[in-house]
Amino acid sequence: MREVIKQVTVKELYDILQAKSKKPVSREDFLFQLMNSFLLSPALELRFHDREKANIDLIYVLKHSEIANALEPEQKPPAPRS
Amino acid sequence: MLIDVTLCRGRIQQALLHKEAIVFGMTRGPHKDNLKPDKEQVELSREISKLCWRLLEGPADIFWDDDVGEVMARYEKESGSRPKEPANFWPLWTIEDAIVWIRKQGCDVHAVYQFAETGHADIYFRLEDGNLAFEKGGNLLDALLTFILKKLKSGAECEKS
Repeated sequence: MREVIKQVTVKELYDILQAKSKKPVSREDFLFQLMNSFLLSPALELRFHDREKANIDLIYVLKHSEIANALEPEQKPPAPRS
Repeated sequence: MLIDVTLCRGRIQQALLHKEAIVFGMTRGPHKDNLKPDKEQVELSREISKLCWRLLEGPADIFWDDDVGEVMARYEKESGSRPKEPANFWPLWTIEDAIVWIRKQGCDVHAVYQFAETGHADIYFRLEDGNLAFEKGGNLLDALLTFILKKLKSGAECEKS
């Protein structure tokens, strides 16, 4: 089986998952699940295997710093001054 | 789930960003010599994982299970349609892990007595201050893990006070 490795961001991985998953999953849920995976196996990188391809093991690599960045609370734009 | 993610979120993020090695999470797949840990080891490892973690240098394999609708740990061996053995599951220490951790804390194993009849082990540890501490367990690993757990608990209490 051929192994294809691609480095991705959390957002890219989420978009890939959204496209292939039959059930919709919210970004918050996905992040929570990634966190859970990280808690169970706190590795320097998470390797997400795309199991759909028959002869290719397509692996999306997510660096742990990426997960950390994804956990940053979204920056809200400053409220306009009146 | 091992840890309340919502409570630890900030701490996890801080550790991730700073690549802290021994802040939280000691997790690894079962060692080849330790494929069938006893209940005691599983419990001790679980307790330790709540207090101490370590980033794994190797990758953690995951996949999306569309049936369950969740990210799952990828399994090493697959038979039929359902996977059986997890590639990366949770925290099981090996004897080597335990000794490395103990030495990193400035302690060391001073003397070990393992009893052939029962298999249980008595271990004397040399502490940072040179004093000796005694620990016993159903086997070597149990005794090492019990020592680690007590050390982590006393460390956590010191931090609180």
